[in-house]
Amino acid sequence: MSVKLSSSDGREFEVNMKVATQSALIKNLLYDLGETDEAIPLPNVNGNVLEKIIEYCTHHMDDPPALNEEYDDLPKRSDDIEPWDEKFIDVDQELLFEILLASNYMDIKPLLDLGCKTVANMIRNKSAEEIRKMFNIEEDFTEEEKEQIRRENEWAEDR
Amino acid sequence: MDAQVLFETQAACIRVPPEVLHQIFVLLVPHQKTLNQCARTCRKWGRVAIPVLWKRPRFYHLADVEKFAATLMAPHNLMRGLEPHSSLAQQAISPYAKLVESLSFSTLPEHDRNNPHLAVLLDTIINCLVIVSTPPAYTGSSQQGVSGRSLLQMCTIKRARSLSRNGDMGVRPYSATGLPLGNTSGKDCAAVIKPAVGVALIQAQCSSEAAVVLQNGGVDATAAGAAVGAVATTNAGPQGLLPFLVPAAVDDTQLHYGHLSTPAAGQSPLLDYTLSNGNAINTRALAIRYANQPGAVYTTTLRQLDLRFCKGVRNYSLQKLAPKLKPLSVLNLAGGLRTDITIAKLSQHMSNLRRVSLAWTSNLTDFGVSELVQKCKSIEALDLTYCTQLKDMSMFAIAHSLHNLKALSVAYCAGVTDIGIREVAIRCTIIQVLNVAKCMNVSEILRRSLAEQRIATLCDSFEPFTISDSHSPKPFSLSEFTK
Repeated sequence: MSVKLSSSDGREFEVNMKVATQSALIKNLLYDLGETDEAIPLPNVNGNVLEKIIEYCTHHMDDPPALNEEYDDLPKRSDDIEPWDEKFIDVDQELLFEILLASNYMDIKPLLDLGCKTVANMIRNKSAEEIRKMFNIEEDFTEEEKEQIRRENEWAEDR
Repeated sequence: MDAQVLFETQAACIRVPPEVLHQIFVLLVPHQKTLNQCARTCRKWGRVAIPVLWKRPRFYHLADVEKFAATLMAPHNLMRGLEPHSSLAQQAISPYAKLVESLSFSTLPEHDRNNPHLAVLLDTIINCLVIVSTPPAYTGSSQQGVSGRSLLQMCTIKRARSLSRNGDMGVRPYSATGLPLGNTSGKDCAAVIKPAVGVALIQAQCSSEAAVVLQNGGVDATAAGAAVGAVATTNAGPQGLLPFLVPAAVDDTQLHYGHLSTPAAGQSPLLDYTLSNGNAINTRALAIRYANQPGAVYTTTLRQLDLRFCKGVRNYSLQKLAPKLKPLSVLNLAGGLRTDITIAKLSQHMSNLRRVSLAWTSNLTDFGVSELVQKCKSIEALDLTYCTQLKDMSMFAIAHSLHNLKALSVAYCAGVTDIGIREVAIRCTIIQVLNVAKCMNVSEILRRSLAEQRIATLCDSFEPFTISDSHSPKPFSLSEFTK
């Protein structure tokens, strides 16, 4: 059983059903469409990213389904990434965010988690200035707002 | 097409949607400092990071608690010039106040936890987090002249038959003289005056209509509606509420007027509308702050309070706060020198508690425990570790009241015996953990029989109340059972 996926730049990938259905988006689509020979278009995902995602899904094809949502009041951890995953996600920043966006769009929860953890680890212990530099974010606060935010959250500055 | 081009050219990290940012920031909860920095990165990040940061604040110095309280009390363009505890200041709570869900002081060093100043700060913070409103019975103004008996008992009430009578009140310091009650002449008018807080509430009740008039200085908000009755609040305090109340007042009245035009207005027209200054706080119209007014409705987003080993917060201050803590579902009072009376008083107010810790409370006796369990029947996890005075009586009270109990610890409670433990095991049908470590009077036979029923009898770390401490590996945790 296989499914065809087509990326935004027109590349087609033929993948195992078990690989494809890790994406809740595709799973639901297939459920609605029934069996189809036509390629499923993924207009928000380009070929390179889709290739990466398929690599991930193929590796995790036989994983047991994730346990229920973790309890809300337990602190979530970001330092429990498996070695294979760590190597997989060790890519340049642009691709990392592309993967993050695509996994959000395609609704692949474990991959989204992995992406978020990786970004969280990149941000940790960085200053606002460093974060802006790292991600090329433009600061859009006025001086007043900057001062207000600093003052109002001063209690959280220590650790 | 343009949008598509723009979409493609933007760097991927800019395009990260807020829900993904949120998921990233939640992972950073143990690193409060980083979250703070994220909030200051740019607007988009700030909007997502601040709610995450404020949901479960952690403090490492008393000075941080002070700064936290200061932000909650800060003007926010709304409350400039008002004393923190003055009545109307609390109507509009700080936008930050709606974000706080869990308060824990367990990360403070010991000397800060034992500092009496902590109690003052806690009091201030809780008062900032709570919205007080008069109970529906009092706001339902359709019944003529009934403005609530409790109010009557509490406050000085002056009923005025007409405007001229109302005018007589001019001799009082917080007079209602000069209120734009022209429309209401000849109707019932009850004035409730609470000099202590410097606010006079005039609740005028007429036929079936009512309107809120917040009157200050020369502002006449009645213009907003052709309401026949008027509920007027005058502030006679030294500082003017003018800067922030006026716009709200006008909006309120208009909003209110909208309510009144519906047939159901007679029911409780003062309930459930939102401040139209963008904060969307449900102030329940006439939020009047009386110090612990009986029957008042307290609304807050706070659900968890961790005061473990906070001896600085004395029993008296805790009891005073109790009514405002009604929505709490998690409460940790371990090692705080709490007494039976305190527990009994607290439990009268907190019927929603699900997880409670009273560990290391050597003053606690069977009386306190039975008061607690009879009032708070939805408790799912109860930590009574090292409450050395407890006897089987407590176990019976627990067994007969807490049908949702999933975890109980009575470790080190030498007074607890097989009889009590067996009762709990039989009656609490969904119990999964019954920690009897170092209970000298619980026999090996019983432990074995519990084990056969798949009830855990020992656990090293009975930590159902860990709110969030960063680096420790996930312990065997009760919170797994207590969603």
